[in-house]
Amino acid sequence: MIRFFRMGYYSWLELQGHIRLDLLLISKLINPLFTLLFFVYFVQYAYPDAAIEFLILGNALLMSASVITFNIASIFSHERQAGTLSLIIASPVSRLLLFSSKSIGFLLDALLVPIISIGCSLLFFESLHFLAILMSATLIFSGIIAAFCLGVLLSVSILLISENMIVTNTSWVILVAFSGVHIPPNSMPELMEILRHFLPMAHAIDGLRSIYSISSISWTEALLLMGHELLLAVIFVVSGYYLLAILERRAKVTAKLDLE
Amino acid sequence: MIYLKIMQAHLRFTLRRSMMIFILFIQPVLFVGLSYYIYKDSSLTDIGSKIFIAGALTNFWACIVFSSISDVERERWMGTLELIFASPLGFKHTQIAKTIACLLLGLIPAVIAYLLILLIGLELSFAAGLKSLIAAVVLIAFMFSLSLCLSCFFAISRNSRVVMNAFEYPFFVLSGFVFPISMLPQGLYFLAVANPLTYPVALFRQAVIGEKFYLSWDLLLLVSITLTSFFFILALWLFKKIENYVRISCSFSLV
Repeated sequence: MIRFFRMGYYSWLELQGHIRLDLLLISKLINPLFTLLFFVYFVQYAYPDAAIEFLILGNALLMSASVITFNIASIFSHERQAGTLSLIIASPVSRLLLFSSKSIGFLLDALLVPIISIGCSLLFFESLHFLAILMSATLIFSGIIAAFCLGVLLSVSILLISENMIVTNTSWVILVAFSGVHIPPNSMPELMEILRHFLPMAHAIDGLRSIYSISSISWTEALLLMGHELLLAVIFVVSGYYLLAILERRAKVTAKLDLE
Repeated sequence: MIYLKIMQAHLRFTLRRSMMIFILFIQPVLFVGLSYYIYKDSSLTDIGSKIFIAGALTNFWACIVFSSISDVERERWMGTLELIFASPLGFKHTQIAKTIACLLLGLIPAVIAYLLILLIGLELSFAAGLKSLIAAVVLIAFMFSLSLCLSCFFAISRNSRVVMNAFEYPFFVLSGFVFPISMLPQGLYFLAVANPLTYPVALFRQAVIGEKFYLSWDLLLLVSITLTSFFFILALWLFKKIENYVRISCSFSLV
């Protein structure tokens, strides 16, 4: 167990090698907070009466997606760049265990971002209702889990191509656009509205919108939305696992262990 | 002539980087699309011009930060930064040529945003034609001067990659690239007023969409030109200082 968390810590450290306190503040507090503020004011500029609580919570969830798409999705491609991917593929350890340990640090990181952002934004909330906060927190958590599992699938998919920057940046912008935080689903084109149901966070954001913008929703409806997110999470992880197995087999057949 | 050769090499090299392909060609499309769907059902007027300003400025700034500034970091990692300093042309002239090339690249997203807005069928009603042109020239000149100063800072910084990311969204918020700074709460508003980038951006916004600012257009123009000159002189001084610092400390690329 200690080894599991140690590997997670080293993996986090490898990508977040800026452990000086001032730099940590920039990357974990200032940058996410300003990204959140940017999107909140972006929407408020167009819709001054938009529910601020929904915008803050929705954007905080998207900040987690940013940590996931830019870090978890890059785990394997970073191993390839460092020349250690071959060693990982050749090792007999369970792939699921390996990936879980390598990404645990980023999952905690992704959970921390909305907590910090929401904490800093509490001043904007007009009134705090415990049940609404509890329901929002569970919706946000299910959205993060689904986004995390998409990160797993992306991480494996990136091995098919040599460049990861375009994939990670494009994925994040698509997640932002399709999430429904900034563009209400009824203003989206029909195809976009259909496609968003296959992306993580969309259902969690619909739930948040119902709580703060439209009307309150029942726990049954909220649990159904969470169920959607968790179902997507399972589909993403299983797809990622099988895609990795296919790539491994291909790598062994072509004698190219780093899967390039 | 040597400037042209450096610019040509820099353009070629930059266009091979996937990050720059994203910033130059994909990001403007995504940003204009996102802005259009956010604005289209709102009560905002002249949304074509507002989308153009947002799309052009955010991507122009990203291009400056990720091309001009990160270029110094890349040279360091490739081990060529010392060679640039030791060359007869020197760091200053090489960096000036590269920054001009970056500014040219930064115009690509603006052109893409302009074409997309026309393609969507939105109107671009520039409030004052000549003023818009003057404001655009001043804004580009300001970005050039600021970029030179920042490249000096990043030449001696060991943490450019992390700090570079803090130059994106905080500046989008505090400079009024997408929304006016008057929307910000008091604390952030003071930061925005203290931010020199706010003035040339406000000059551009006032010229293009006629947005009010706490200074008149003439005063904004004066402040923007003064700031541009100040940063250009500061950059020239910094180049000299860094040249001395690098030679004396002898710890230039020891990352």
